[in-house]
Amino acid sequence: MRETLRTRLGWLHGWFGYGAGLVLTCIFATGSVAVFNMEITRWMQPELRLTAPVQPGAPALDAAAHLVAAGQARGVSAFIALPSARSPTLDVLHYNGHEFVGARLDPATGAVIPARITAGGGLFYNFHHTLFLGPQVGTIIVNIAGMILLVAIISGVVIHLHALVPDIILLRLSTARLRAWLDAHLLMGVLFLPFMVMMAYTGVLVKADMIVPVTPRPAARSVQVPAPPPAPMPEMARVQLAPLLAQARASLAGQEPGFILFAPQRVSIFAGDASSAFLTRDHADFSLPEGRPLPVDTTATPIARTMQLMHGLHYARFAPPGLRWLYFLSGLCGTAVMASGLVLFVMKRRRHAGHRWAYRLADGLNVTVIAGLPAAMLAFLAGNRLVPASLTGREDWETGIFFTVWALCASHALFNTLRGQAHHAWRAQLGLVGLLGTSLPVIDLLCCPAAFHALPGLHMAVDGLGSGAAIMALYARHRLGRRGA
Amino acid sequence: MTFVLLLALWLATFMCHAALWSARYGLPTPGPTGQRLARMMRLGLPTGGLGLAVSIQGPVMGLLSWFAALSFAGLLAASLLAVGRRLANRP
Repeated sequence: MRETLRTRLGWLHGWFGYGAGLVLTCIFATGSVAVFNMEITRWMQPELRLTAPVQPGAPALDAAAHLVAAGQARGVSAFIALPSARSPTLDVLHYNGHEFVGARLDPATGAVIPARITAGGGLFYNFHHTLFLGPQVGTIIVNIAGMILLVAIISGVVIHLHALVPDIILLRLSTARLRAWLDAHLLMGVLFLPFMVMMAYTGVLVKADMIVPVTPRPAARSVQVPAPPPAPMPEMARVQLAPLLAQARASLAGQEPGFILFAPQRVSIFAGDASSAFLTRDHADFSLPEGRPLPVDTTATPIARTMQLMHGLHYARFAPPGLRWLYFLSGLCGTAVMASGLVLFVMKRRRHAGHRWAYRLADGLNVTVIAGLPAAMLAFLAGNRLVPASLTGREDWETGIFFTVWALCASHALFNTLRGQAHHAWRAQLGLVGLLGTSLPVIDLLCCPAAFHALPGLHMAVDGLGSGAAIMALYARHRLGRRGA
Repeated sequence: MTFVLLLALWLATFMCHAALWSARYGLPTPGPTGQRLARMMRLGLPTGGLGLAVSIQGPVMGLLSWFAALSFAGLLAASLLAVGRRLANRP
C-alpha cells in the first residue's frame, strides 16, 4: 500500500500523541487546577478568614521585614508578598525546593496568623511545570512534552484538514462507540485548538532557556560547589518600608506593587503580576539602609516585550475571575481532548492486540492517568482536612497522600488490566473518584464550619468542583456498567 | 456580560454554519435567500463580535474572550444539534 502524507502523519499523531499524551494529560489537568492555586491554598488554610485585601500598615511591613531578616540570619532567602485580591494576607515566603512557603501576616496589625502549614495549590502548580522532579529535569521533560504536543496538534490538523471546517461542530452520539469517541476528540480538539496552541507555545517559550540556555551550562562532571550562604543584611530590619512602598507606587505608573525583594545593598519593590497582561516585573529600587531611590532602566526591547506577553498569557495572573474560569474550563476541555485521544489509541487496537501485555499495560496507564490522577487530587484535598493541623511537616504528609494514592491507583489499575480485567479497574477507580468527590464538601463542613461561614464562595467553589468531578465519574461508571468495557 | 454576548453571536454563527452544511447535520436545507442570509451572518457575526470584544475589553482580553466564546459556543451548538438529532431519531 502506498503511504501518503496523511497515513504517515496518522502514525506520528497516534504514537507520539499517546506517548506524550500520558504525561500531557497530567500536565494539563494539574495546570487547569493551578489556575486557582492561590485560591486552593486559601481553602487549604481555613484559619485565614480575611475576606478583602487591605493596604499593609507600617507595623505590618516592619514585622515582615524583621521576619525576612530573621530568615536571612538562618540562611533562608525570603521575600515579602504584598496583599492582593487573590491572597489578602501579607506573606513572608521562601522557596523550599518545590514551592513558596512561609508565614502569613495580618496586613493591618502585622501579627502572624497561626495558619496550618500546607503544600496548598502550589503542589498542582509545581507538578504542572516540573512533574515534581525538580526545577531542572522536570522542566526539561515538560518542555519536551510541550513540543511534542505542538507536533501532535499540527499533524492532527493536517490529518483532519479536509473536514476541519465543515465538521467543526459535528458530534454523533448515536453511532458506533469508536466513531462517537473520535467525534468527541475531534470536536473538542478543533474547538479548543486556539487555547491548546496558545498554552503549548507560550509554555514551551517561557521555559525555553532550560533547553536552549543563553549561557552554556557547566559541564555535568564538574565539581559540585555548594551555593554560598546569602550575604548578611544587617540593615534590613531597620529600613522603613511604608514610605518606600508609597514612593514605589508613584514610580511604577499605574502598576500596583506586588513583591518586596532584598539584596545586600538594595531593596526592590516589584509590580504585582496582576497589573497587566505583560508580565513586566518592573521595579523600583532603593538603597539600604538610607532608602534612597536608585536609578532603574525599565525600557524593554520588542523581544523582551513579546516575552512579557508570552509569560502573561501563560500564567494568566492578570486575568480577572471570569477569564480565570475560562482558562480553567478550557484547560479541562484540553485535558479531555488528550484523555479521549488516549482512550481512542487503545480502542483502535483492541481487536488485533487486545491479548498482548503491551496493550494491557497501555490500558492500565490510561486508567492511572484518567481516573487515578483525579482520585489522588481529591485525596490530597481531603487529606488537608484530615491530617492534624499542628503536625510537624504536615505539608510533606499532604504531598505523600497525593503520591501514595496515585501509586496505589496505578498498582490497582496495572494489576487488573494485566489480568485482562480493565473493566473492573475503570469501575473501581471511577467509583473512588465519586466517593472522594462527594465526601469533600462533607469533610469540609464538618472540619471547618467557621471557615465555610467566613468564605462561603471560596468553599462552595472548591467543594463544588470536587462534587462536579464526582458526578462526572459516577456517570461514566454508570455508562460503563451499561455498555461494558 | 461581553462574554455572554460573544457566546450568543458565536452560537448563532455555528447554527448558520450547520444550516449551510444541512446534509451533514441532518437539518432541512434552507432556500436560496436563507442560504445567502446564513452565509452573511456566518461571516458578519464573528467579525462584529471581534470588534466589539476588542473595543470593550482591549486587544489581549478581547481576543482571549473571543476565542473562548468560539470554543464554548461550538461545544454548545454541537451538543444542541446532537441532542436534537437524537430526539428526532427516537421511534
